[in-house]
Amino acid sequence: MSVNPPLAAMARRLSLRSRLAEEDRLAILDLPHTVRTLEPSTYIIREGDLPRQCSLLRSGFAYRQKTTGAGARQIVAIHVPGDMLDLQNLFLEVSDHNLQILTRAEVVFIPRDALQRLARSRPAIEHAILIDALVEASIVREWTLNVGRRDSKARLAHVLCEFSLRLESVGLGEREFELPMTQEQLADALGLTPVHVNRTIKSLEGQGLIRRENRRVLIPDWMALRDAGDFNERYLHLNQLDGSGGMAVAEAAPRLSVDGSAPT
Amino acid sequence: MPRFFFHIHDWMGFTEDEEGVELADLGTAGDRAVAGARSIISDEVLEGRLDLRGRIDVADERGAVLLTVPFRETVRMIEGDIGDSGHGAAP
Repeated sequence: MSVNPPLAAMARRLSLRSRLAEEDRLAILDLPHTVRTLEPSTYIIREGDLPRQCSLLRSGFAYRQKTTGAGARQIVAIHVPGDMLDLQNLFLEVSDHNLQILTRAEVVFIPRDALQRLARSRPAIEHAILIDALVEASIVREWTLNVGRRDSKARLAHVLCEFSLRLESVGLGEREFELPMTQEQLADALGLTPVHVNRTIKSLEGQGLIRRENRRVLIPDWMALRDAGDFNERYLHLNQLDGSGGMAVAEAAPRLSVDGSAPT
Repeated sequence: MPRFFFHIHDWMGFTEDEEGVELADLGTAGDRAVAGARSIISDEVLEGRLDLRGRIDVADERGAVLLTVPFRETVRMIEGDIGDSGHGAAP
């Protein structure tokens, strides 16, 4: 077995959700799987498809989207490296949305029935999977609030705060990251138009809340952007295991290294 | 497909579009500029402010402006009052 087998990141992620024994961890590493490199826009699953496999994002970004009858797209979730991609499809029989690659990504596919069997035979793993799916639902609730009730500037600021913290939690930059989305994709995530998004970015920049260098976004004053975005990290449940209620996230976010190595 | 850039000039100043987007033709780009202007205007109306002085310049990759969309041309202004009998056909 190599030093960082593809499923190490999954074991790592699930052990942040619930305490796993060493046998649980080994059972995860032992799952059948295939690793594929996928190009942007590739569909991992389409609305209406019957899920046959679950997946883990080893590198790169992905997003979930739904489209109206008239063709207007809403991006309902973004996935960062280390995320499990299809846990709700572990037990639902049909996919209710589209899952697509955002940037070139390495995806680990696990047959659904194998993961179902593992979940049923190992309660700690089933518990961790349940918590992971619940956290995902929590993020979707926050996004509903975001597009439904925040103005354009707060919406964008909120998503940038979320991005920053989620990337930081997997060791990909601190208060500084490469924005993997085009104006158009941001617009679809925020319920705005691409032209409006560009102006909203400019407005945050003008207020000194963000700085940009090409596609890099820098957050010079975290608390100011957090206020502008009405952001409270509680809904990310980054400290599920330490019982802090998520209040110490900024200081003590657990690190999930993307390659599955030990936290720093 | 050609790449179009949507530069915004309004009370906030100049917002350059450094990214651009590939679209089928200038007509599609014009539609996108109109939708963008309406989206910006409506956002400001929610804050109690209607400023139609802005415009969007649609440019090509070399920076040449192919089309200018003034904000005021993206909405139909109907002023005056609705009279007592006044909920007839929309003008």
